[in-house]
Amino acid sequence: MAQIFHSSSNSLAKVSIAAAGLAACATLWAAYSLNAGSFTTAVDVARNQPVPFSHKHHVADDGIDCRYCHTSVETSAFAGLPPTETCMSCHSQLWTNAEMLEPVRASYRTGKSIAWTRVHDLPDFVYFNHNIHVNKGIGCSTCHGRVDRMPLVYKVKPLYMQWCVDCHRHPERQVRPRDEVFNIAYETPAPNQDEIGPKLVALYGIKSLTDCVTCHR
Amino acid sequence: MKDIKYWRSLEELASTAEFRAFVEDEFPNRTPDWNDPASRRRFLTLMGASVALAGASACTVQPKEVIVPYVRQPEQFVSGNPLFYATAMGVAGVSTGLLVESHLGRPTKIEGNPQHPASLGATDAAMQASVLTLYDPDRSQAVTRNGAIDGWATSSAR
Repeated sequence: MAQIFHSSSNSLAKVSIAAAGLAACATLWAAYSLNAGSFTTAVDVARNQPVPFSHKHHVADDGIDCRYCHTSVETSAFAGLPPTETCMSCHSQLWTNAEMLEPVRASYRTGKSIAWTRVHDLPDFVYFNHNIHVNKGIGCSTCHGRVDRMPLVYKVKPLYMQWCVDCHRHPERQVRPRDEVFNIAYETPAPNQDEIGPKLVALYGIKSLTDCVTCHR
Repeated sequence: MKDIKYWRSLEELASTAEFRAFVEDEFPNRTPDWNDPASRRRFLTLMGASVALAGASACTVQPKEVIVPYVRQPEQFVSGNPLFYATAMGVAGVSTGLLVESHLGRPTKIEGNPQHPASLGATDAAMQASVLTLYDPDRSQAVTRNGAIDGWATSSAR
């Protein structure tokens, strides 16, 4: 009676065990790279907007404060997007015939809102509150990066939970003086972070909130 | 050496055509079950595949989301925060002051108005529940007068 398996099956079996292990590692590596890469996180991907609004121009060239447009950042969970009226407070006088600004004028004329594309989009199961962070000395640029260098805004951080929790465990590494919160050029950790960090944490009464329910309500 | 032939049953030894057909069938007497589209076996196969693939559905890029700000933002409105409107509700000829919490124009919660001298912020179950009447499909969709639709302006002018 003939053998069912050829003698080469022995080596084939051993090789396939090793290959299965390698394939498992490769799959995990591929899944991790996909998850951490900009395809999934959209980090460094500039988003198209109905009007190509340039933060670089308005912040760096014109020197407009963040709060001129994002008015509710100190009082609300949501930083706020300016109503068309805010745009028109300048652009009814400046660049009144610019083709680029037609959607803004059309919105003001027709009363129909401009639909901006959200760049920083937390999942719906995460609660985030801007005002507590801003009022406890976490600056805009800590999370949003150098917006004054972005013609179209993109994310600089993946907004993953690990990233949130890193700072919630060690707020002293990212806290800055309150009067520097809206200073886009201020860098954290500061050169003297080890010295001022713990002092500011004590001064502002910052607690390390790492309960699940802090963010997942 | 003589070729020895083993057999396990008398039927196999006789080797009738009927018996050979029975042996060649991998699942004798079960074929109707396998071909039935709604069988338990098929159900488990599909459920297993669904559960295995359910995890893969999480591996998606977040869909595009838009932010739609006001054209002319109402006064006192702070985006992200609710607005509270003072109103009153009459029960048996007695009015109680209420505060209605409103998120983006949608009333969500009714509590007593702490500045109302009679109730000092207290409410009863009917007042708490009255927020639901605002979403009642039978609620009038417009201002009516004597059964005919009337406008806010003409109604309040009378």
